[in-house]
Amino acid sequence: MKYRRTTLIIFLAPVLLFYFVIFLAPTVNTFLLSFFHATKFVDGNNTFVGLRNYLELFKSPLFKKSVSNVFLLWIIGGFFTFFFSFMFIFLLRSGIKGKSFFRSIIYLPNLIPVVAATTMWTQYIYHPKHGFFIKFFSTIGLDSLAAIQWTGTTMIFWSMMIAITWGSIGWFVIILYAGIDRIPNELFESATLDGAGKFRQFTSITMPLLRDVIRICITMFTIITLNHFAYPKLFTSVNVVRETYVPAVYMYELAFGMSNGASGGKILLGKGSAVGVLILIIIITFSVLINKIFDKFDKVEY
Amino acid sequence: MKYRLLMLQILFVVSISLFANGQNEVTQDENVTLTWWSMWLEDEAQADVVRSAVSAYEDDNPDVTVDVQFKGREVRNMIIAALEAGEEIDITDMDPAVATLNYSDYFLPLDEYLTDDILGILPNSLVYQDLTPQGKVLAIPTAPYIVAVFYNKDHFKEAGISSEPETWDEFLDVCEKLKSIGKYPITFDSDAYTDVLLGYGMQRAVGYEGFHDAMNDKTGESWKDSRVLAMAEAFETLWDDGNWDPNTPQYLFPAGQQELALGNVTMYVNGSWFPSEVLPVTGTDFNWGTFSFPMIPEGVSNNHGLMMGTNGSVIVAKSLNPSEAFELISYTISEDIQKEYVEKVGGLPVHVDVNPQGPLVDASKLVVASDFGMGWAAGLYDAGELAGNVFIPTFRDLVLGTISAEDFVLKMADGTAEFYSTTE
Repeated sequence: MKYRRTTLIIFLAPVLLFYFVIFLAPTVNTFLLSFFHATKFVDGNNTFVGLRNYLELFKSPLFKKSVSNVFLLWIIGGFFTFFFSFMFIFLLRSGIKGKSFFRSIIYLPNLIPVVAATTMWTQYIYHPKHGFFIKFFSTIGLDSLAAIQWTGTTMIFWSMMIAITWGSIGWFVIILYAGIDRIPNELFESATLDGAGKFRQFTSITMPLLRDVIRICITMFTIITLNHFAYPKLFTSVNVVRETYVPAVYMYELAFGMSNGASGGKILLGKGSAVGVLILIIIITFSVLINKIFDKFDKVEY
Repeated sequence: MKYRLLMLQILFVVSISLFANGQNEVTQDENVTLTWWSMWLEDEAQADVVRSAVSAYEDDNPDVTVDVQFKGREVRNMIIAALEAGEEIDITDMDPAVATLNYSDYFLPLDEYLTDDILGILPNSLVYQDLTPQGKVLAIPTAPYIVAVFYNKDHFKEAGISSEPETWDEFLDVCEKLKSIGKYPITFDSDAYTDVLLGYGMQRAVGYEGFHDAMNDKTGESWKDSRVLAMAEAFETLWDDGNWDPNTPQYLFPAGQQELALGNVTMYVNGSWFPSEVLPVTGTDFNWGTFSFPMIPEGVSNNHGLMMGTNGSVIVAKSLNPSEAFELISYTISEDIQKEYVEKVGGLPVHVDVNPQGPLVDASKLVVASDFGMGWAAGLYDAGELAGNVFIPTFRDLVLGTISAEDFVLKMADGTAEFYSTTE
């Protein structure tokens, strides 16, 4: 037994060291930096300011706007992401021919790099003259849809949400589908024999047995949404506009002192770190809440 | 026992490999290696020019090896972390304004290297702007730019426009003539260049200092100046008279500037990199013209104030070879390399004896004619969050016809007052 413990330590040590150096130490450093007015990563010139960075964030209209944007992405984007995910799963399990082909098509958006995806959406699909939407809707006579200014100031946030949702669905379909595949078919067959329709089977068998998988998916969706950076940064590729601003972009502009950004070009590493800490706190809070909500449902096993 | 011995041997080998140092020791006093983190990308024309400069320098200095790494624009975000981590870098590229604002501790003041020979080939306006608080020069300008109205000369000729507008009325008259030949007079990408339009508008209306006074006035009342209203009305008229490409509200960069390149629109307020950016679409036959942003009705400023700036090369303060590094940078601003820069990149040259070519000939004349130089967007971003949260969105709504001139003034005033009252 003794040498097994030694073996365990020897083989775990590199991983733990890696975790500590790459993840834990920087996280702790970021947390400490959030209490300083810092312009450098490693230096003694940083000034301790206590909670000032956090107080400034809570007063910042731009930060509040970014949080409300990401909250909308979570609520409404989340609803449509999971709605379409389940819809595609329903379709795939309906016995449709070419299931593998459709599964690949559904997952394809996840394989497209974000740079390519945002360029496709902004410069092709949404383009006001040559775009797919305007041509398609005009061709089929839906002039009111063709007239929508998809990348105008009123719609740009929703247009970005559509693009993000499109890019997310496939991944959750794969995870949820794998979870459903583990449910024994006998349960569905028995339910069918007992006269249960597809919808009843979905609500009474699939959803309860998928509880833990759904919990994980919602938690992961929360983490991904609160950390959104690439889509907002690339959707308006020169300057991120107020309508699509998110906390991660705000953090980036403060920490790196973007000259056309929120800090007016000054490096505000401490304040940027505070944004990162707040994102982490929100994620942890949401995760705890999600677990508490799901714990209220009885655990079902098969 | 055997198993334990085997595990200890494995652990020993792994530990040794973790601490192995594969670097060769540099021989002292023989070869010097200069490391340059360049802001250009490998396949950019500017990178070709840098390679030429490096090659010429190495030919003249056989005991020096230059390791130039093309990091792209993100070098600005990487460099400080790299320097703090102990990376040995000698040269990097940076906007002097950014270097001065944030990084003056990291870079070497270059004043002692600015001999008369060097100063003689550089325009003063580019060398001495953006000095440190101690009055030191941190960067050698290498890629200057201006912001002006770029236009299609063929459209002007077809419309019978014989001179470039200097006043707002002349500008509106030009727009009417362009519309008569079926061209959209003007467009822009609102996510990219709203800031320069606002900067020029306000500088022309109330002057550079007046603009900054309005940004810093915590009551917001400075925005209610009649000249600001006149500026807003000028832009309101521009939209109401149908002078903008009607799809402008939806253009995201680079869609708007492509419309000029495709010949559908005539004018666009942009930086002097514009012709080279759209060269794949325009080809080399495009007849470019440039004029300074016109005067605003009732405004205090003429049309000679010009937004200008430069990227530059800086030497890291901890460089072991600053003299060699400066000499290398001086090769990039030599006459031969600058001629290559103009030819390959199509940018504005730094060397006073090198003339720009083609699209930027007119642009360079604006530099000579300018009596006032200002930074990007007339320093709009000194307002920090106010710029992105209030000023730019509100001005964009005015330009694109969503709000009236009166509403613009009120929103700017109220937004400024509210920002200062909630954040202080």
